[in-house]
Amino acid sequence: MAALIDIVEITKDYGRFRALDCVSLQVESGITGLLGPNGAGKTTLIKVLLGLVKTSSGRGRLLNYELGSQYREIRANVGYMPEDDCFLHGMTGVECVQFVAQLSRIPEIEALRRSHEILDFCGLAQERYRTVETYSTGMRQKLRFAQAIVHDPPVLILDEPTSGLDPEERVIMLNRIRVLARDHGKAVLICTHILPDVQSISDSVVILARGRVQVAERLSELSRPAEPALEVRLLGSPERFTDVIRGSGVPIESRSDGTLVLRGAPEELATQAWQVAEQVGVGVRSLTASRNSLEEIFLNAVREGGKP
Amino acid sequence: MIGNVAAVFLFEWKRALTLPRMAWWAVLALFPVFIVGVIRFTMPDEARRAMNPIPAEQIWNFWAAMFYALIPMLVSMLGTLLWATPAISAELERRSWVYLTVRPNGGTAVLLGKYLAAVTWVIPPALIGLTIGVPLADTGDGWRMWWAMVRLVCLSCPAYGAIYLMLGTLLPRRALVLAVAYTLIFELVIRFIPAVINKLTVQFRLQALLVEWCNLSLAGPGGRPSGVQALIGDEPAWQHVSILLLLPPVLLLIAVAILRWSEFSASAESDV
Repeated sequence: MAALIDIVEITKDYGRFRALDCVSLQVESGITGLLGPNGAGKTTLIKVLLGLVKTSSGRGRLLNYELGSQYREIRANVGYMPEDDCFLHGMTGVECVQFVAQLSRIPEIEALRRSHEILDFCGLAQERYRTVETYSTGMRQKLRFAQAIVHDPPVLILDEPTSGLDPEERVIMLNRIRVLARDHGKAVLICTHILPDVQSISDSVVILARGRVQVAERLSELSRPAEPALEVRLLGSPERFTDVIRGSGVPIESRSDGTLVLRGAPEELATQAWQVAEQVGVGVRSLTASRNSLEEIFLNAVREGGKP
Repeated sequence: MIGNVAAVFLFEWKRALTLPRMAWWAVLALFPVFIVGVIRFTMPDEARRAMNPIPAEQIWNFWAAMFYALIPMLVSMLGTLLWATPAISAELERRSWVYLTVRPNGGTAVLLGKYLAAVTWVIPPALIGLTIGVPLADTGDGWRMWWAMVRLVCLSCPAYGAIYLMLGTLLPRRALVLAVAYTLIFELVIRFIPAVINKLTVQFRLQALLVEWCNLSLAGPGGRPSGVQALIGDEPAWQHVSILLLLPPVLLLIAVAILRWSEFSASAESDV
């Protein structure tokens, strides 16, 4: 299958400042998290993909359309949700969405019908008839999301889609994105600073630092630790549990947060851990296969990227 | 593309129906009427008596120049300067530019839609001002005066709209400064330099047409040629009209080309 995004050695300079430095990247369909510290080049990369800025060198394709020359086709097939709070003054929510739908070549009546449908999906009820100036941060976020998806594009580029949302709304927004990706086959590129969001919904992760790609990998691969292990959290005193496990020849260590790490294949160790816990009379709070946290991966990538 | 332009045009008109913009609209329509009224009715009796012996031709010339200065010049210039110049800068400031340009042909549609909205927004107050002002002035042969001015308005608004829009695209961050500088330097100073360069101004064309369509006499005392003749030139009216009609599409094409090659969004956002 052809890559959704395939860019080769793209460099972008703003005067003497190099925002993207020989970036080569392949992004498959599914949900991809685009991560990076401030100034890493995330926004520039998005702008390059959308044809909003020209590259200094390099080439690439998005959905098989050539970056730079076929930007009209790219824009017709991409829904972009910018980070900036940009709304069209003096219009109601539904008018805003209808207007951008019309700009995406959808006839007026159909644009209005779709706008209502999308606003329902995005959870904007009667507020859709209020002027956008009166919207709360959360409502504006939903409106920007609605504007990005109203023309039913196969690719979505979402810049900070959950920033400014309360925890409940954040979960709902992530579910919407998940529904679009899993049930409607959309390819989604999410640019965010909120790592748990990426960890919870992304299939792949791209980490940029100082204009370079530090990591581009499937999240399942990245999360897999170098050595397989099982993390166990107990209800009760862990001493006897630890002794019995160690006595059976399984290496075990205790972390400062009380989590016990059993080295070995998680599937086999899980059964053993249940049995030992029952034997020594302690409860098991959680049993999980050990994974590298995205935070760790991110910090390592950024630190390595920061080395001269 | 036409649908996109129409959507922006209707959207801009909807946005124009706010109180502050309608107030500006009323000012543009009524300011010329007010000035004409002041001249017509508050002139001291002595002055009015002094005017009586003045030949009708000179009164006609006076009102033609007055209406020209107030409407095809002031209203058209000011109106289009205010609405066409910030076409891009306003969206950059509101940070909505990126939103609009990521639509297929979004940038071009915004540019052309705003241009049409600006021109159609300025022409009605100019026509209202004329329709009330000309009968008020009692120029003699008011219909001819009105018709000449209507044609000048319909040529000046699209031409100035295109110039200001192009300048606004060229330098969106300093659009109004550039537009005002252009107006003062080109249209008001260079226009009155009797050299070939003044043919590059819109005022040169409009004033030549004013002279032609209002049949103004440019002869100096004793029928000798005056200096004004040198400023008007001797090209036929059809040539001026053709150039003024050709100017907007050419300038709009240039504006679209500038848009295509510029990276406004890059400077609009601080994030990299």
